[in-house]
Amino acid sequence: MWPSTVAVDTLGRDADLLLFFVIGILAGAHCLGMCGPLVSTYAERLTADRDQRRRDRITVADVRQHGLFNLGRTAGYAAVGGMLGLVGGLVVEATAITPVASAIRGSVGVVAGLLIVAVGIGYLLRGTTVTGGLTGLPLVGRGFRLVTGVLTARVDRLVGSPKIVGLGAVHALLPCPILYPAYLYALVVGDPLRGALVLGVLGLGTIPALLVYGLAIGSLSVGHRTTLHRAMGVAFVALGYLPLAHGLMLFGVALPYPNVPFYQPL
Amino acid sequence: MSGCTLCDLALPADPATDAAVAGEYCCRGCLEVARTLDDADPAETDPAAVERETAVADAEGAVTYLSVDGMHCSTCEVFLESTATDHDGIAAAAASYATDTMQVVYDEDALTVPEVADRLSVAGYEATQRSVTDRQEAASPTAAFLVGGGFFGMMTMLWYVLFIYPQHFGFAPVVEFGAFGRLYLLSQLWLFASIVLFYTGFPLLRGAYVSLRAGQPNMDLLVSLAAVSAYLYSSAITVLGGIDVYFDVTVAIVLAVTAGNYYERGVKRQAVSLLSDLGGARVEEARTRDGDRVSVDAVTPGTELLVRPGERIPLDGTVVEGVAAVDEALVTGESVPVTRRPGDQAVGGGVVTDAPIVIEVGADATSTLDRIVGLLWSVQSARPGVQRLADRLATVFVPVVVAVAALAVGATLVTGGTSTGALLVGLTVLVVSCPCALGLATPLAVAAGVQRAAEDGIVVASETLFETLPETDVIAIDKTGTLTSGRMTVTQALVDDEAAIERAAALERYSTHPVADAVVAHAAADGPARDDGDAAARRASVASDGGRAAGSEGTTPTVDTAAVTVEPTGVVGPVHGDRTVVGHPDLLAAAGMAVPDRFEQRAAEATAAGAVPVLVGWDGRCRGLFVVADEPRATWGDTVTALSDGDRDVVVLTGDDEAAAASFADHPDVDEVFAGLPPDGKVAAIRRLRDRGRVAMIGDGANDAPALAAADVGIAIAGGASLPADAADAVVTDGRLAPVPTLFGLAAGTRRRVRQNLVWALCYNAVAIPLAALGLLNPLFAALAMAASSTLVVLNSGRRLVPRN
Repeated sequence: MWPSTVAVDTLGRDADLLLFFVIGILAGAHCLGMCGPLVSTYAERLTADRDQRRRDRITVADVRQHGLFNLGRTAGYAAVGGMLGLVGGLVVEATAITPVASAIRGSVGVVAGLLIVAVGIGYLLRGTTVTGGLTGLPLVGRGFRLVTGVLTARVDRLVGSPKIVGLGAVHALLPCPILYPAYLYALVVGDPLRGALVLGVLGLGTIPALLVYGLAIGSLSVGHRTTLHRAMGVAFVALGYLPLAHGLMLFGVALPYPNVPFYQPL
Repeated sequence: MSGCTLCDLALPADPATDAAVAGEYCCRGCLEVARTLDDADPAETDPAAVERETAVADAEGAVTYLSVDGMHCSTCEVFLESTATDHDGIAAAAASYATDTMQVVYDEDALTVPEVADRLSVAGYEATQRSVTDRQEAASPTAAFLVGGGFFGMMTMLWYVLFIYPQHFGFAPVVEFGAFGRLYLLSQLWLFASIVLFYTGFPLLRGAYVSLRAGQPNMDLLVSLAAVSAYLYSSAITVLGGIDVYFDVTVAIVLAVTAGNYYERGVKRQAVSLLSDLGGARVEEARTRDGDRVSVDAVTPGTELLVRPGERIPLDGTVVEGVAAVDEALVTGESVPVTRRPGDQAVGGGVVTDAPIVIEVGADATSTLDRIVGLLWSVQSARPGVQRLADRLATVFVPVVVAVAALAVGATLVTGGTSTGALLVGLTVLVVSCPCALGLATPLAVAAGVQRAAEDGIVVASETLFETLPETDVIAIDKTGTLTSGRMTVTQALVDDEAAIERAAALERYSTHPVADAVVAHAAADGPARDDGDAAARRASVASDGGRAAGSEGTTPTVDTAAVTVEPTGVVGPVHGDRTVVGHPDLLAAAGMAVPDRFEQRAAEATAAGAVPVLVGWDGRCRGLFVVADEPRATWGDTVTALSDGDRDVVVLTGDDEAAAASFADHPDVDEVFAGLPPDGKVAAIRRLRDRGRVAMIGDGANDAPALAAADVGIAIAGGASLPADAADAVVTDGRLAPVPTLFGLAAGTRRRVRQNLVWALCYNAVAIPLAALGLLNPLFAALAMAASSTLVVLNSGRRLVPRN
């Protein structure tokens, strides 16, 4: 049902990658607002013992540290995405032999898809983050607190060295309202490689905004960020459509569907 | 409407809160981040770091100040400082590109000042010894660079349009050359591009070299990286037999960036020429007691110098003969002239107003004014310039682009490409990394801002003003001459007899004291004295030396000139035959005149408020009172309100005492008044205010100059002295206070414009670099996209910045 040209095929195959990249780019603004102050604290500690006269300047060393931090962040997301993909895959395999396997997978897809679409609509309408069950997971919050507690006690020692990668990786555990729908998708995808890949692409997408704005231009105004949140909402709706449509397909409802791997019904 | 405590976005209906963390948050994520921020341990202060800080202040040796031509960014500062300290004999150095100055601490036995300057005149910079009298002239850019480059650039583009672009469209070229023809064509292009790159682009390449030496990337490095890699890539392709050459990119980048900088410098030079030659405040010659002229530098301590009315005191010293009123506003900022008698200290730089005095030069034969200049230079050269936005972007961009290029090379090799192919892919990424738009973004927006400011009579001397002024947290304003007009005028009058003002003026005409001038001006502006009155109208109609304006009303009182005596505190003489005394209340008391209670009370009130009461009396008693004070500008209240807009603190600085500044402290938008500041005190006050955030200072007198330089942004109200104009980032040439709030709006608008331009330029990169990395780019597309983004930047910069008043 899709016109079959090479471009659309490529697009179809990797539609979710592309969407994650777009979400990452748009989410950069969100990261700036939420993690910005934390990153500024790191930056402040980094320059704290520099020459007073030149403290406002950024140097190549700063860029390197920020780069390492962001790469660490991306690696952290990818690791969590991979783990969740693995878990999802295990669940799928465990239920594969049961007679209701298809129904289970279908309902998981539908539920996850609807949740992600709901998050997207929330962003679209409010232009800001959504509260509720999604972001209130207590376990992860405590996990984040434990790990960051260990790290922030040593912030000064970490920010100046390559170990800042660790600080970045910890951000993957942050109760972030953008990461959660993404993690849900990775869970549903059921494959560790794909899960790691999509989350990695998301992380990469956030890097340009954080680097350029964080280092060079400064903060974005609230108005700009709200607009970008709405755009991100659209991307989430599109993303949520994928597992939703696949799940419905497993129930026999056929909807237009791009050629995404691992979703092909056997 | 408040937002999330952390990220400022809108709060949902039930915000996330926690007992342990203060504030309301839009989601748990923000809450957790805030909790982490609270928990992070406080920064450990590194004692070694504190030691490193005061390099120049602590270094031992002689200090000299140099003017350095050719610094244009923060990287140049780093380069010159490290070059200086690499030499034996130079202990420490501090450079400031915003003021084109450098402070060097060196070993006097090893080097002379010209030698130091020589050592620092490297890599195209020119260092000379700084002197007060010459105004900093921006080096005029040679048009030859641009015209020659433009010619060859046009030739290149012509060749491209005729021969190369059609091929990418799929058309056959205009003329078929065959194999030999290709080499012929491309070697011509190579020649043109070489001329443009190495001749017109030489300043850019030099800037890139400095940047590499200093280890600090700047815009020049980014631009040169793109131009040089395009050039190398195209040379390689020429040799290897292809047609995908990017000489057009080389030429376009070099010419566009050079043209943009040339245009910006031209606009700035034009603006600076609006600063008419404000006379230097330094005194070169002094007069000895006998009347002989000597050079100030040859005067030894203990010499007696004669200073006549209207002249400036050359050096600090003690008064030995004569009593005069000295106007020290330029140096101390006090608005009322001070009477100096034998035994009093006289300040070098003050102007003697009404009677000649003889001073004995003090022990170290310096002038307070010279000390102010020294302080100014010390402050100016020690404050580094702000790292410009474009340079910050370049610092991020250069490593990222190099990394992406390296990745592209690696990826090509890994996926089975040849090494030349991989190299070419990497070079292509470098080629498109800097569109001309990036190099044009800042100069065009800044030029628009400078021009717009000049329309309002404001000369912008330092373009970093546009980046720092919108971030101001505290505005410090000098009182005398800035909030006030700086001239003594009659502000109140209380008379029993209508003729009081005419009699007073008749006598005051014989004195050149500024207070006397004020009385005479008041009389000439309107006949009968009034309690209210429009000071501006009065001032406007009178010659300032007290001469009578033609056509004044009323009969002129007859005065017997021979019998008039001018005292330090007033004038005594017969008017219409009656002995009349005008001046200080004590003078009237000494002359035996009765001063009724209400006059005495008013006089006491005036003195308490820092003004000067002038009483006039005849026939045994006082019959009139005039209060003379430094009159506040009419618009000062509105200006202060406009300035404090947006949460800024407004602080008033003055050398006068608290009483004189009381009326300013009462204004609701004035947050603080620092009164009684000595000449060096303003710099200390500014430094203290800088703890609160960014400080902008508005001032006018020479004594404000070091404070103007010490603040993050200095705005000078032109008032006849060249020193504050040199120290400031912007000068209001018509001497008004009212345009200053517009400057704030203009700076914010210009900064926004710079950012918009940069974003447009970056959008080009966002499209072009991925295409280049994937190997899908060709010269036609690159040139079209570059032209489009540059056009957008040019059009965007041409839009009106701030509505005309």
